[in-house]
Amino acid sequence: MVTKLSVRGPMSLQLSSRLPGIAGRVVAALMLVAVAACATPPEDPVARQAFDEANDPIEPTNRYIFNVNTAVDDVVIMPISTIYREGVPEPLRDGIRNFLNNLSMPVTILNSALQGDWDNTVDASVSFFINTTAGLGGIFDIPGSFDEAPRREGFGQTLAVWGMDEGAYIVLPLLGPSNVRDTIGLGVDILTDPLTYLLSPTLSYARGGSEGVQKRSDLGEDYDTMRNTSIDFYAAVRSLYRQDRNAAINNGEGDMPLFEDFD
Amino acid sequence: MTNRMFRLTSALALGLIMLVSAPVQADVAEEAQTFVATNGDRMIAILDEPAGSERSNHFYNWLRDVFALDKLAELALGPYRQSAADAQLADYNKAFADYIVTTYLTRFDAFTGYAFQVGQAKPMNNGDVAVRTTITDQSGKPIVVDFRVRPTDGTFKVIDVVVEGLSMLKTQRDEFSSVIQRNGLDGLIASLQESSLSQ
Repeated sequence: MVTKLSVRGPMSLQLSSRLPGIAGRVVAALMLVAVAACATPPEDPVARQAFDEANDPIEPTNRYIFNVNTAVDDVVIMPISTIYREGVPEPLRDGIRNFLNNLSMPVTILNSALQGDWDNTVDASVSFFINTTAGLGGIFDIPGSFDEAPRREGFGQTLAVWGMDEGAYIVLPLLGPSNVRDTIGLGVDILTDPLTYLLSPTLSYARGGSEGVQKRSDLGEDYDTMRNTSIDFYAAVRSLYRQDRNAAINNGEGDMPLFEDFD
Repeated sequence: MTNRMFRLTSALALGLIMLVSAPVQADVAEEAQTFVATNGDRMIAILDEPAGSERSNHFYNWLRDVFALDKLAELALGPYRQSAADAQLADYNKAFADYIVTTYLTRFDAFTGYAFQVGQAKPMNNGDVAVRTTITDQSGKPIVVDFRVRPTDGTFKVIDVVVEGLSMLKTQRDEFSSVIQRNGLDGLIASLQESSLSQ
């Protein structure tokens, strides 16, 4: 049984590490490595169909980066997040979570509007305004002034709503699972987030790092359980990531998958 | 005269059929809800038992009872079933069942002490019923878990569990496909066996 994982990996995909200048260099480096390590399509028709469905043409590279990310998580992020979870009292951790969530509202407001989702645009705007002012910069999440808590939205979801296909699977260094569309979305999110420009680079890294640690501490045992019970953790994460993104794009209103027609 | 009587009778018959079939659908949905509620409670009771081989056995029996393990194995294997030898399939089905039991016991363990509430049941296109439940953790945060159940022999069997949009069956299918691509069906069987032993 899988509990809700933030399957974007230890670091949040949407608004995590503030890497404006470095991001460009990372992407360039990735593309060099990608060209060097492409998987060749198999000939057998069943295998070929599976290959196409997996849509992971740079799988060798992705697996390598995935392993590196897992190692970094084991050695760096996991210990820090354990200390965070055990050393910081829950009300304070809730406050930090609310604060970081509130910081993501500007991008949510923009993208809900771009998707034509006026309800969420209004919810997010009201939430941001109230939490920032009465909630002391977002530390306190003040519910009750609107019907539902706003859903986080980003440009990756906007591109999907506008009809762009997800494209090949990509594992980003540190940031974890993504795809062509969502990587573009992440770049745009960074550029359109007013906080990118308001915060110094050091603060931006701090924000990204904090969000990563905070999410990792929330995941806690679920991540470890998944890892220990999977027979191919990379493939499991790839599948979960895609399902999670589709659920986010459909805003939780998709139908259950049916497989009878495959057999 | 005969013609009109015939038409009238058919219209009446049709009307009667329509009256009868509508409640039948609603009944199936309700029965599915009861099935999920009853067995959810059973599972929680089993998980509350002291850890040990008796608890594992109870869990194993519950799982066999409630989940369509053979059907799940079939669906998780997908298109690779066609080229599999009979002996391989037998090995695979056994390895799959063992894997599911050990894995689910580990994963479901995380749910002890949670409150469980059954919600709406929605009939699906192929005769299955999707039952929505909400599981609330200690901090009060609700998790949406949908069960796809199939009417079988007068009762139901679970075909899929979808947690917040993440389908266990789809994930397994993708994972198994990846392992078969890299190591073949024998490789998959070996991985499943190894995983059951190491948990």
